[in-house]
Amino acid sequence: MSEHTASAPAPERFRRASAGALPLAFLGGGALCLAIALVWGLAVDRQQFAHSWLLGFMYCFTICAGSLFWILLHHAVDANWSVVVRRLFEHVAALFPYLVALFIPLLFCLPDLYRWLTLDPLADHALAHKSPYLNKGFLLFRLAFYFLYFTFAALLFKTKSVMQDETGDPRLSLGMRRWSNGLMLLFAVSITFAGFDLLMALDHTWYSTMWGVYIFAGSALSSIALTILVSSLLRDAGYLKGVLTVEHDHIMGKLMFAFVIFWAYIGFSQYLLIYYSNIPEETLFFFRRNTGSWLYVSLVLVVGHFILPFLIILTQPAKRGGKRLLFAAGWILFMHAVDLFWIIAPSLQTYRDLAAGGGGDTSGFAIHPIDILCLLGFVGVLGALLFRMLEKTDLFPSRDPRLMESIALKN
Amino acid sequence: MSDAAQRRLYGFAAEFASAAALYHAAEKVRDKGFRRWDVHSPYPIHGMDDAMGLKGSKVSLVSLLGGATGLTLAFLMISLAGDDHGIVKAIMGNFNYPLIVAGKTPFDVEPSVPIFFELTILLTAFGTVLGLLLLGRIPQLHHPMFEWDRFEKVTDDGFFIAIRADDALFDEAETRQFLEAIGGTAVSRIEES
Repeated sequence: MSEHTASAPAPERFRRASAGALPLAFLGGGALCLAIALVWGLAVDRQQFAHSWLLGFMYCFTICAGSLFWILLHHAVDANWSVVVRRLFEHVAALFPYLVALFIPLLFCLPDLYRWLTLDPLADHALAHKSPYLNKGFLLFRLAFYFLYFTFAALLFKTKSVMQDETGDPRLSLGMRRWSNGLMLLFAVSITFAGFDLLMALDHTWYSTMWGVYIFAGSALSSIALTILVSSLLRDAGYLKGVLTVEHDHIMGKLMFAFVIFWAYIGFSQYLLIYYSNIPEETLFFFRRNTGSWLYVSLVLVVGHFILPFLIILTQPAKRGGKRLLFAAGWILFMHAVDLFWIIAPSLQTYRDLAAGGGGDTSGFAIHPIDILCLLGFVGVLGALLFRMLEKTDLFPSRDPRLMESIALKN
Repeated sequence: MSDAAQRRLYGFAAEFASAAALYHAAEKVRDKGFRRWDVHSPYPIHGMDDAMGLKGSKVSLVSLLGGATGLTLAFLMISLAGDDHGIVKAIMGNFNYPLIVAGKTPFDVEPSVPIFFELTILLTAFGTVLGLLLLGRIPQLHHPMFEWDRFEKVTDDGFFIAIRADDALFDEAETRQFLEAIGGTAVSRIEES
């Protein structure tokens, strides 16, 4: 029996002054990191550069794609709780055009990343079988498709949603719902095959049919963690008062908790099936990451990406806002970077070993400064763009027909 | 009337016109400070927990206990049956049936995880159902409210509040007046049979 008489809250925008020098620091620091990585990497070590850049790129790619997933889900199931945080998802997803632009340096280093591009399919048995899929023309076509899809879908929803702030037209909501179902299908295809092409193909001999779901699990998890973080920080800074309540924290906390478990479930299922069947060409990926000092990174993932956040946000009070939820969200964003590092960095060592003739690669855990530069650079530049977007539109869809329902949410 | 005198007083109950009326009446009962009372309605009413001032349920605690039991049980099952090396040996000594199945050594972590997982889930579910039954005092074969004719409407269109006689604030005359004051009709004395 909630009160429906309350009037809609006044639209508000992010004021640059309230963030102090933070947006500038993000932009300056990020651009500087990326510039150093570009110059240093390309001058000294193209392979290292390509892998590090891919790490930074995939970190932001998965978070932006995850945000698009939450928008699509919101419209497809006609949810009401997520109206007040939907704008944040829309902003993050709308970073895709910039992300695509940041992919350009990689276009010039594709052979430094994907060894199969340097091989003759006739001389490589595994590649010969996969060459109808793994060939340069088709790869470029697919990349173009993913980037077009993500950019189109993200901008479509953001444009319509921002338009509704002006007009208040409920038909825009119906239009977005109609778009969402078809685009959701394409989302599943795009994230799955983008995962195959950008990460799994780092070693063309290896394959896992669960890879797409694994990448998706990390995407959905990290994007909800980012939204928890950003929305709570905005509230702490005095925004969204009376709009974003502890009930929204609770729902997002529950979703984050669910996806912590989902990530572990998918990750372990993938591992267990490969472990049990024990076929050399499948075990190679995990063998590489379970031997030497890489084993410790794998264990850090098990403990840090699953057990720790699971225990931290297990109880109900922990999910209802506050420092513990914020810490868990920040921690998950960090572990997501570790997860991608764990995927990409050993691939570089395998790449080098095979390129040198495949004498057996025993090099252990190593992190290169360019890895960190690229991660910080991508987060910095895209974070600065996010600050800018927050200033330009209302912080929540101020004339969405279901706004009041969302504000009055009760768990 | 000697029969009636032996009957124990359960409390006073009143009927309300709608779910909204019941909700707002419940808020007033809560604010008055009553503790042993209940509302009865044909369907769950959103937000009633708050209106009644109910705290979070303790079922999740029983679930957690169930889960912890399941995990421990799984650990014992695997280690007692098969281990002859490593940390388990240090703790448990040798309880050997070390069967090698499909080339997997006893108590490898990987094949054990599904057993940990399944038993944890299973006993969490058991714990949840058990906790629900115990804390909700289910099954309850009879309830004093059934003695009241009007209460039949509770499965159809009746909304009721009952304040029990064992509440510290209960007073026959005052509670009757109070129920009328917050909009209750057909205020009745409910006796246990």
